[in-house]
Amino acid sequence: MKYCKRCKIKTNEAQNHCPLCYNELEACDELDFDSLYPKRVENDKSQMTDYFLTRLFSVISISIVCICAFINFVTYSGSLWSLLVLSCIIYLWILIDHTIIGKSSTFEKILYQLIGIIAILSCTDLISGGGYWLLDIVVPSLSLAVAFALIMISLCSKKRQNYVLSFFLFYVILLLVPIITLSCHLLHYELLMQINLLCLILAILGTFIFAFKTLKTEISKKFHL
Amino acid sequence: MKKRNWYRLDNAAKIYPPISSSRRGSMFSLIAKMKEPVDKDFLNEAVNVILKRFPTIDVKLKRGIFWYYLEENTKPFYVTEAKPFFLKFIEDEQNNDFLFRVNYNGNNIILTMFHCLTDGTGALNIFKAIIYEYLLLKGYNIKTEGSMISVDAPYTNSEAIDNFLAVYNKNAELTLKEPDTFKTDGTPFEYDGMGIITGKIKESEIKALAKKYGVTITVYLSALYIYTFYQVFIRNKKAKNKLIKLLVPANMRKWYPSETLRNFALFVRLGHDFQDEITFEDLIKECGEQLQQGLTKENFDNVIYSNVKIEKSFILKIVPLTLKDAVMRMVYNKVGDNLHTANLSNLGLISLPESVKPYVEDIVFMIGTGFSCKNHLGVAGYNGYLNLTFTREFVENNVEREFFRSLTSEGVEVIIDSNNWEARLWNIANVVK
Repeated sequence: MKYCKRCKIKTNEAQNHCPLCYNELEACDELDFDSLYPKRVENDKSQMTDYFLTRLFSVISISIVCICAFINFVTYSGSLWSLLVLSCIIYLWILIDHTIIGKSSTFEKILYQLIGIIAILSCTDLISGGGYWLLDIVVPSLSLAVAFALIMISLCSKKRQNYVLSFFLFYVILLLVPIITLSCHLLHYELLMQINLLCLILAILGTFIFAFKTLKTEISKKFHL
Repeated sequence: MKKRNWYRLDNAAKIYPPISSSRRGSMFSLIAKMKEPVDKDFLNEAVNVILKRFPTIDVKLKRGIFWYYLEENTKPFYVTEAKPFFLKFIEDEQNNDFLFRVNYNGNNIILTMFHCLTDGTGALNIFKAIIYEYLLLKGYNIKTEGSMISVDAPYTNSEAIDNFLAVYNKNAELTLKEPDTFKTDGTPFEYDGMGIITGKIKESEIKALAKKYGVTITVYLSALYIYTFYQVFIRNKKAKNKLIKLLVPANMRKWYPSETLRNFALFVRLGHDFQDEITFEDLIKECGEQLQQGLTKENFDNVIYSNVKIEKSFILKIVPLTLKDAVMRMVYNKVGDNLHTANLSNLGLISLPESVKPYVEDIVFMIGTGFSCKNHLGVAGYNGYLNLTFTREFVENNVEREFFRSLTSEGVEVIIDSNNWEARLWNIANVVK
């Protein structure tokens, strides 16, 4: 071992300086010991946290939005097309940061994607002067596509037990859309929404029949019942 | 008894998921220095056996609608070689969603635990079981001798009980809010990580020193730690707030017998407001009195009542978890760590079966720091020695230096080990061979 005259402490042979006061050590006749702590190495990049890419894409996104907003403002002729650019950039962030890289659950990812796509299309609908295509065709089609995807995952995935509650909640939330739009007669073309309604009711029934026990356990976990 | 495959977080654990991040890990570590190099395959097998015996740690953290909960983790567990960055926050995906790590390094077995799983006492029981199983797999003739939880003993639900709810006394009183304390600060490290210095001292020497003042080892070390903060940061310096307090955890199992392996510890705060000068001897006396007043069943009943009442409040129950996370984080940043300057956690003398002792040279305990509380001291006793492990978030080690110099000036022999985190990487070869 080695000894520090100033601090009057002993330390292991590997230390070149006193770990407390950094003064030089002198040898002492005692059995040495191995340090508990692994030696750090130069260029150990794992020791550094780096958010460079996030910052780079933030700067690029903000620049694109600002440039487009400026051009839209200067050349304004009745159309706020820069809002569409903004919504696309926001959707891209959701897609990359939340859906692809993110650690959220499948339920959250699908929900955010659905909200993101509907938001972009609503923005497009608003800028293009409105029409019936969004509520009559796009929303029920998206809802059907999501319901179909969830049913396929439920049938094919080995981890289907983990998804039961989140998919059930999805079906219930999606079910509200046809119920509200059909009962309030908001649509010009109702067939697609009616098919959507039937599909969702069947999906919910299927969940009850095949996964009632799992659903009950998941509800007690998530809601702490 | 049927094992549940999910558990609610206990009352103390509920705060850790919202407030924990890479900047405040809420982690602590136990290190066992073995007498020979660690065999990673046997260690891996030992941990996987232990996971079957202790299902309360074989879990992953999940988000519910209103609260976090723990669910059975079906992924395999792997031990890994220790990296220099000790007590690093556990990133789920890097650890197969497990909330603890087991590393090896030379002769050392390191268990790093996220506080939401268990407290020091619970972790120690699990750690002993890992060491025991590891040695058993290596073929050594060892027995538990009744001094630790056996792997062969069946799991019971009493190990998973939230004892805070079990001992909740509706007739207790609410505790009063405590004032903010002095916070330490210094030059940040170049890289993420913390400075760790372990001082090994003979238990008999420190006991004699504490006896000289008529107090326990915990009281003596607490008073010395507080006085060191005063000497380093406050004496002859301008400081608005001169209140220095230490958070000292107390194992509730001594007052409320329990087999739980979840969190079941409360805290006593010891300290002094250095607006009024005080000698070291008087400080020791004051700390002794504060600890005595704090370590009473009546006081614990009141603290448990205050904590559990918050959990049971209807408004808190119905607030969605996302909002609850943000609020709890905000409140904790403002209030939580401001009530103490540092943490001193004493695991006491760690006993291992006599047949196991020949294979274990030493045991060390350390607590992870965070941006809101930058100094901690972990104490563990083994085989006639006490290991005092200081952890800090900044380069300056004045506290450790003055603390150990105070001990050596009283004739206590100190052996120091350090992770040299303050050394510049380009200069590391000059600092340590």
